[in-house]
Amino acid sequence: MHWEAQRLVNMANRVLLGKKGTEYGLWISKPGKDVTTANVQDLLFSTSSSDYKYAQILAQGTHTFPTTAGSTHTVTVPCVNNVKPYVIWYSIVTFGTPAYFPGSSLNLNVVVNYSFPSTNNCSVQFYKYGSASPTIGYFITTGEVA
Amino acid sequence: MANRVLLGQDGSDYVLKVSKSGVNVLTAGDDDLVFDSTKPESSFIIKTGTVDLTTGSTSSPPNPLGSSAWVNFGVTLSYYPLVTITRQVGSNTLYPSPEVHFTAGIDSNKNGYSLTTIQTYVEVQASRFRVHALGSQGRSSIATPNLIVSNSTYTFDYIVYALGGATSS
Repeated sequence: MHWEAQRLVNMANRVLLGKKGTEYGLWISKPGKDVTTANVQDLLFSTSSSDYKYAQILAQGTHTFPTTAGSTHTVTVPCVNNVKPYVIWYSIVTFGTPAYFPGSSLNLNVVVNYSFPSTNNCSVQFYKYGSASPTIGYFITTGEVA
Repeated sequence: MANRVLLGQDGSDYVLKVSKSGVNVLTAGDDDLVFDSTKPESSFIIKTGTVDLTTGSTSSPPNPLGSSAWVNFGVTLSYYPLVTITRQVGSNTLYPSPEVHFTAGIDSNKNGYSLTTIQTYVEVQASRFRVHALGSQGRSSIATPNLIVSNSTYTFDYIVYALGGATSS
């Protein structure tokens, strides 16, 4: 293999940028794992399959809804060609010490609505039911789910 | 590259680090890095897609309303990975999961005052997962549309992260 074509950067067997087997790409293994032999379960990043992606966080934050039923909170994020991002949210409830509940909690339901104001932008709307005034935290990531 | 990407030696370690915009990767703290190969986990996704769940005719708790078919990862992992789902509710509307909805009438054994929650959750194994819709009791004054009911089919978006193998310390 010609060294120029191979262009392998293999640092302590954790990061491989270049040729692995018959393909070129970037592979990064988890600590303690040899990137040249690691299975997918032991990788932090891999370009080996079109199924593989990396969930980059496009936006994150918190929001406290007013008591008005049907109140909304909208976050606009980049989404190339209107591919939907992925939304993870959780409620933040304070019982002396803030506690975090994934997804809906007992007095909160939030719906996520998407709209596409332009080809490369997406608006994510959090819609709250009920008259409580909850605080939510959220992450919006690249997803390319469907 | 403008002190944003570090590929190479960092102290005694060899790393790939990428800092947030405007932050020097050579001096960035953990919260200013977009990627850091020294960390034990990342948000590396090994599978995405959609899966359907068709509910049965029995809706009384604690019976599950229904389960999806198993979705295979295509690989058997040495841990149970993180799987997140959101339920599609019409065009461009989603319910992130776990979702809990409240409605009256599914279980009316307590003089009509007993309300019922509908929960969705993911059962994850090392090589596959499936989605369940479950009925259980609860109370709330909140009414929401698009509940999961019997004899219907629902579609969920899912993401499988290769995340879960690290040992916390």
